[in-house]
Amino acid sequence: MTVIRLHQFSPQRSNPDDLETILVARAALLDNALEKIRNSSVTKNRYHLLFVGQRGIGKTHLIALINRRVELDKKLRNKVRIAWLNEDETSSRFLHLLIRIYRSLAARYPDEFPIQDVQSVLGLDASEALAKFSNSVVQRAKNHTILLLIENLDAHFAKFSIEEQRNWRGFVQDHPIFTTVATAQGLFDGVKKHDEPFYGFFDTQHLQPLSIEQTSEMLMKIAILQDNEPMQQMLNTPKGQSMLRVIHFLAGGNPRLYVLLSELIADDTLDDVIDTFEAMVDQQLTSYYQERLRWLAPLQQDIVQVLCRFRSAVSVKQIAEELFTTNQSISSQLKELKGFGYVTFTKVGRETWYELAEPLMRLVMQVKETGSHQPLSLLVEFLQAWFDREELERKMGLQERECTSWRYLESALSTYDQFLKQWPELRQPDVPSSKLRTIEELTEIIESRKTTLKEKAEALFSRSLDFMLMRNWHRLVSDCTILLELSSEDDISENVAFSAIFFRQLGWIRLGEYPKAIDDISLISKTKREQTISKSTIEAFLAAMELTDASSCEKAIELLLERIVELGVENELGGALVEYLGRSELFGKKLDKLADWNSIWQRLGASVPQLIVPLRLLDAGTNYLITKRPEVLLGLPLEERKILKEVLNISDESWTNLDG
Amino acid sequence: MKNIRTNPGGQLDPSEIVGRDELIRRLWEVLDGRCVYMNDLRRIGKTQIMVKMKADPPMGWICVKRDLGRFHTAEEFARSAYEDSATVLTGGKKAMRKMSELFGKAGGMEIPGVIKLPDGSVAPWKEVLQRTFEDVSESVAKTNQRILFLWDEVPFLIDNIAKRQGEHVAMEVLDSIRSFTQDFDQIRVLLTGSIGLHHVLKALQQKGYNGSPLNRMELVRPGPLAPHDAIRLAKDLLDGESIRSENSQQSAEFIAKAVGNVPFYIHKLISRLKRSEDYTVESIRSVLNFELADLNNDWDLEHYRVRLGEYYGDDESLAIAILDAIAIHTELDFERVRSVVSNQVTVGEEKLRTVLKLLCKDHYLEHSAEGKYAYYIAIVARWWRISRDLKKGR
Repeated sequence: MTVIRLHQFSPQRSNPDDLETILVARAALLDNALEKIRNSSVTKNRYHLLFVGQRGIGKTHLIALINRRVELDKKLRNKVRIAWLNEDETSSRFLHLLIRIYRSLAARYPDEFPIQDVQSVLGLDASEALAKFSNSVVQRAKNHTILLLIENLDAHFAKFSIEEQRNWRGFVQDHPIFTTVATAQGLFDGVKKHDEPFYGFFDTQHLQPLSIEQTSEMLMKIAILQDNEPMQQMLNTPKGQSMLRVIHFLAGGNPRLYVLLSELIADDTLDDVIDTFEAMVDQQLTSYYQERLRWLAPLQQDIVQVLCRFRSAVSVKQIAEELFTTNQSISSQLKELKGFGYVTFTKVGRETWYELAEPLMRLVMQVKETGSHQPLSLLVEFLQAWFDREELERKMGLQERECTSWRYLESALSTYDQFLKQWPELRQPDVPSSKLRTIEELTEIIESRKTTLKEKAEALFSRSLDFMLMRNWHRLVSDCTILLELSSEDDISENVAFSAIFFRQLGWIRLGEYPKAIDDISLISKTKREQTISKSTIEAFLAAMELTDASSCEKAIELLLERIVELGVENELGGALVEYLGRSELFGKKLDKLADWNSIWQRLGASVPQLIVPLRLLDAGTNYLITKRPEVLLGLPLEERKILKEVLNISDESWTNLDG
Repeated sequence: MKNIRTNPGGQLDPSEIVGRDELIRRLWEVLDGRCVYMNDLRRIGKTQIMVKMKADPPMGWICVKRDLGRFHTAEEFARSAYEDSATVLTGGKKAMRKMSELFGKAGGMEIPGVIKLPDGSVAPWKEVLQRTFEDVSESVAKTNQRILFLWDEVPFLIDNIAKRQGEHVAMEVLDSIRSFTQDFDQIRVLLTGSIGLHHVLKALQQKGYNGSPLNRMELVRPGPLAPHDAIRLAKDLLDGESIRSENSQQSAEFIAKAVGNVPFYIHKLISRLKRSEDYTVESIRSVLNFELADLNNDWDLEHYRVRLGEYYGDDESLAIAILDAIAIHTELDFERVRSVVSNQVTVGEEKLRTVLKLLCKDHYLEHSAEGKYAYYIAIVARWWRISRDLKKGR
């Protein structure tokens, strides 16, 4: 493994070649900036670019690469002079800024920008010095374009009075020698407010957080750069991908975070995702978030801390009350925090609800405060299981549909859906579903020696549906059992076999034979060589169970829970419970039945720690489906609400249009 | 047109400042007879017009352009007028006889920032201005030329001086500009600024100022580009930025119209489009609407709403009702405005006429020759509808 140091907090100190190697997602932005710098070196166009994004998003990385590429381009290097200001220094007057720019130029091009020019104005009256030094800078620049690389522009503006901003703007307008590439954490009044001198002056580009794919790509590039075999391997394992997904879901796509975590991700002494997560929290995440907090104004820090304490979205009024201040001052700070990427909001009716954009910040702070990893660990565990399905889909693409449990679920659902469609006209128990053939006719086909295997299976399937409609559960179970025996033959459609299991489960439950019903779950897994019971399988079982009455259902749930705990697949059950909420439309679920379903689960599942998160989601989801009140979901933490919105198919657009 | 790149808010090469030729021709005609005060909304392109005028003046004209916003005293301002004149006159400072006399044979000092007399005192700014203008007038007359001072950010200058040296000095500077520009036929000034000079004047008037520095100047409102120029600019920028679109002509037409033909907004909107995507008119509309609806955008059209309270005081709700009505109906004559607005607020005819006039003066609305009121800039109407959840009517 090669030791290559990537300075997480000061990318400008890293080797520029390494920065170039690990660049992801910003190539177009970088090319565009370079084209404009090139254009400004051969025309009178002068560009003033402002890259906006939260700390760690990659702004300095971008500036470092602009600097590098200009240096490497011979033509450009001859026409452009670079002044790259130290990011930690700010100035309160334009004269000081101009001197800093000059010093930077003098350090890089001492023959062209002699440092004596600075000496010659020291001690003069400020206005005199500014006039004299302005002339110096312009004369020394000759025909070059000065590329001003200036970070934390917002911090400069915070110190500049309006008069000083007018000095700066006036100089730039009178002496078009500068093309600027600046960065800021967020948009700030000095550039976005109509009455400010620099309103509309900068061409702002927002740096977006990395997507999960881009994050993975960046980590892989780091691993290759560092010749880090274990990390490369880890990124290709389900554990690695699963961990990345969970981190991304909870923390978003801030590149600095991933550079910071890259070493731990590849630490194979950590057994699983939970161990790794706990190590991350203890070793790095706490200081990472504290460092980010330090950069905020005092009231902004207080607001973030309030949001860390609350597990749900919070109104402006609540925050103001917590901090003993006015709604107005909280609102304006929240707006800035939104610009910096710290908070996100949801508008419901006239009320706006705020929360931290990165739930991980809140979770990490809670660990620090309570000293307990448990709530975070349970959530991570649940999310890991939740994302397993997505990971499977991503890796297998369309092949995913070959997965047994998925096919079983699809088959069960489609059979049941067809069954429901016929239901209105077939709801009388005495009316057979097969209008063309009576039960007697079907029996004749089944018993005939001339019948092919396939015809026999189809007839059995039709007859089993008839028995179900007639509530003849014994005959239903019996027909399904025969069908399953036939299913080992190739001619029998897999869908028919899966449907037979589904309906037999239903029959067992109706007959009170719960252990047998639950055994059928394992049957899917055993016969199809799956290592464990998957979420889809459990979900189909839930569907069968949900068709029964409440008391049968309760008994079945009790037994199911026992078996699930025995098998150690609590997270799969949790996932299935949440996912199943999203099928409520398909199943034509009655809301009162949904409420019963929820209350049984809340009662029986409470003792299983891994079900804490899914039961919370089930409860909120049920309440939401019954009341349609968005506040119900706003009571959940952001990360859990995101899952539920996905399951219930609530789009952001419909969400914001909801009236609370 | 060569490939041009988006540059919202930046400094443009004069060859890339499009669509202003006719206006500039008209400005030179006006300047033949009198000075000009150019006033319009911020970011409409006033500074760019000056840049283009300076880059290519007609035969017989010399131009000086200066951003006065960075001067904070009358002395700094006077010195800049002197320095700038010296740089463009044939013979430079030597050609400025009266200023040389002021320095005296013993040699006054030209210290950057101010001019000092032989006795070490700062030269009186009014005298510096007077002598500079006399020298300039004399010098250009010899070559049968005229000089145009393109002074940008004049309101900032006046505001700076009022803060640093007091309102009375600011008033004197204004009066001096008016007086000198009337006295010398070879000298013209074209004044403008990011904010309207009338805002600064209003503040000075409250302190007792009763001068009218602009009353002999031609008031010119440049306005947005003509539609065909705006479309051409949008098309050139789409091409220059290699933005793929289903029909680039239609896209350009949509962009120009949607942002009210204002070049800054055309640059800005196109700068938000990505090369990696294929656009249609609909998707460009979505980008624009998203930008305008984003609470944290840097277009600050919110400004048009916020300032109503300050500008209109008790009539704020009437102004809002009028703007709502016209945002929904696109254009309305007086009777229709009255009919729609009276559903929401009780208002007399005269009051309504007064507020409508003010809304036109403050660049919210324009009143056409056909008697129709419409938004002056289409993008403001679009933002108004989005921010107030109004649907465009028929």
